[in-house]
Amino acid sequence: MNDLPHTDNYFELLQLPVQYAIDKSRLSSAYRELQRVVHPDRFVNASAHERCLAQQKATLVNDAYRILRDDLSRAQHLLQLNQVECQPHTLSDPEFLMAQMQLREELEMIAASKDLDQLGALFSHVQQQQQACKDRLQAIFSAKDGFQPACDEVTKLQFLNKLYEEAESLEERLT
Amino acid sequence: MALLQISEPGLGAAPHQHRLAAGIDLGTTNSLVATVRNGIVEALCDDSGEYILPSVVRYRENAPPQVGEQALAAASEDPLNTIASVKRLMGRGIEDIKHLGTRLPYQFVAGDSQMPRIHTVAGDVSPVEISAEILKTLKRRAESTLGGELTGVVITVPAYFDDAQRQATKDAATVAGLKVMRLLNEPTAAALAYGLDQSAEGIHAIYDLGGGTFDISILRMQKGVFEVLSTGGDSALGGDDFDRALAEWVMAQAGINDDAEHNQLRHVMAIARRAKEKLTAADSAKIELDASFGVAWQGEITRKQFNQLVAALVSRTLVACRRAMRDAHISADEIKEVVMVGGSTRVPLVREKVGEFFALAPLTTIDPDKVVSMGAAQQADILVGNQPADDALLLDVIPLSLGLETMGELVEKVVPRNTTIPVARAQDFTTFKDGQTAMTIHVLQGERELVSDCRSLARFTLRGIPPKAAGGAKIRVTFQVDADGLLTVSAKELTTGVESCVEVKPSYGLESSEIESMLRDSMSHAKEDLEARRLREAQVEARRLVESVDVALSADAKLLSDQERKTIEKALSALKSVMNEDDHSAIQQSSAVLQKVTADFAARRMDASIKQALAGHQVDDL
Repeated sequence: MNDLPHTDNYFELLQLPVQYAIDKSRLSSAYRELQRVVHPDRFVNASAHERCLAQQKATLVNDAYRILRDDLSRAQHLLQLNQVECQPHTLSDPEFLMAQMQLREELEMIAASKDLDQLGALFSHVQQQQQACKDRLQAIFSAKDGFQPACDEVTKLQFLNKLYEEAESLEERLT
Repeated sequence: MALLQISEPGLGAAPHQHRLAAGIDLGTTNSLVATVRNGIVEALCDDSGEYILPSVVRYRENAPPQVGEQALAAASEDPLNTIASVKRLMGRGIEDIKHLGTRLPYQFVAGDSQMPRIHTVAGDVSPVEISAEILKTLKRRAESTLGGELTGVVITVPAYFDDAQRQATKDAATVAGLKVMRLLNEPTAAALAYGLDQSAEGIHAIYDLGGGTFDISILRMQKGVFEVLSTGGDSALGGDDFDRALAEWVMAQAGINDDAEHNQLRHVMAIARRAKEKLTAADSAKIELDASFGVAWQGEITRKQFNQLVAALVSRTLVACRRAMRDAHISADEIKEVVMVGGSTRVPLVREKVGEFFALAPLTTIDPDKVVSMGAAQQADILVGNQPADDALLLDVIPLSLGLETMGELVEKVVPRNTTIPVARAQDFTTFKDGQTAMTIHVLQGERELVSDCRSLARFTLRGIPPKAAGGAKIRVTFQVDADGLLTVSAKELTTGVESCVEVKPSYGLESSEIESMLRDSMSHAKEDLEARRLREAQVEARRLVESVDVALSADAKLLSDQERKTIEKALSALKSVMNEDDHSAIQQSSAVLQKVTADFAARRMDASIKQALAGHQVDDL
């Protein structure tokens, strides 16, 4: 939803290797260095054209940072760069879907029982599954023999992230 | 006018003259102005030595309005013409004001635009004009103290201000004849005031409880970059609510109904405020109502009783703190320091609860009344170009999510809250009826799912969509938020390229024509007229352009071919030859030419500086 029509390679923009594994401290220091030179605050006394240019570049750099920082959107960006098109809604992993349904039921039960310990257990369970997805993404992207399988992992990670968000908002309501 | 030239210590001979800049804290209850002089940040005082200007304006018949202390003193006797806490009305429509939860004594009248006006003996005035009076007073104070005209200012706004409130603030500055270099979030300003000289690396929370608003911001400071991780708060919660809670208690004790006369209510509020202030240091405070305002009554309140009255208000602030930490993905134990800002953080219960919540003793070393204006002054000094370029950089976020209305009166978020600005996001929509040729775009701000629960910012229609079967046309709506947090929305039909764009003028904002006429009104007594102002603006912009091209040529001429350089030099000298003449259209034309022939050069320089920035970075890595 949030992609402007572009062919920018965010890894190149921030001069990072084009790969799934990312050094987050290097990412954020590259981000800061770039914003230091392109941010509109550096161009307050510049001409209108330069101010406009600065705004565009700073927008792009913010976008790059946001996309690369997040484990899900970084995978999506890599798929885009490799021109892999994922078909929407085609996850065929009954085991995963079943596990998701169970987790959702569990979340509803916690909403009724208000059991914070149980909620904590659910959080760590979801986190484990998220990590497993990321590990598989890492393996697929570093093997470099076909990225299509990454589509399934991306879809799974989307499921899990959504569930995690719902658990967070439940926690907010309960505390 | 002669300018006293002072160069910054450590800077040596400045490459350009020191420009005058100021930071303005335009508060609900009080306003301040500060500046950087000789490298030191200081709040500026008025002729009688007062730093704080009460944000109160009194309109009089056939006399200029009074602003500040004098107006405040007249509030009880002349309530209808004396406007206090106007910040609460900024960017608001009449419907919103009814829901503010406050009974306001003013007589509201509907104007031509949707912006409400208040009826006074000096005519009907809008909140923007009232705020402009406060800004004009601070502008005069700064210019007479500094002995020259301000090049630009930074004005602070609550982080939680929405687009309409920000736009209204900027409009007020325009009406007051100020150039706003940046709208800066108040908590960020406070962090600047604290952070820079303490070289504080790490994550900080800024708890800002002012007269009318509450803000919480979580910031990370790293190598001179201030990155706002999240911000939250409540734009209708502040010390005034503490006063009101106490006033209601007094009224209940004294048997005063809430439909009592305005001046009696004001009197009770004033007494309540004084009692609250006393309870900061004392365990109890005497309360005495003056018989001349209706009812004579005497009593006493203990701090414990007062704490009970305001405990729920304090808890509301902590809920917002929790949400902000969640948005920043951090836990309370990662926070290194909590900075207290705003006069209301003097209330002992606030300090106690905030200290407990973060398990840290809150920082209160800078005067909480001055800290915001001081941070704003620092940022103004950086932006105006008085400080070396690699000093602090601020990366701020939008406080509230921006979205669009979709089917079923639901809001689809396009830019989530706490996204770093500037930002641009696009969202594609399709037509939902056969043969549909127009589509209404309704822009909303807020976190809730229903349109009716969010704030409507603008509504516009994209026409000329080619008639196709439902779902056949594709419309891309793009949101762009600039570094001030102000939004522009554009819509484009992708198969034909039909385009429609609005600068989001909030539904309750002013038309540019209205701003211009206010500006003209406000200058009718001044020497210069609008024409002179246009000329001066063209000259300022031309000088700025010439300066930046001069710098660019001397630094990066290597990026140009001989031919390109000659073309630029020709346009440059053409502009130089007209820019001090008084023909503003000639200046504008020459500026446009120079702008055009340097556009590509500017882009190349930007790319070169990006490469260079990261090259340095890679060397550091090794």
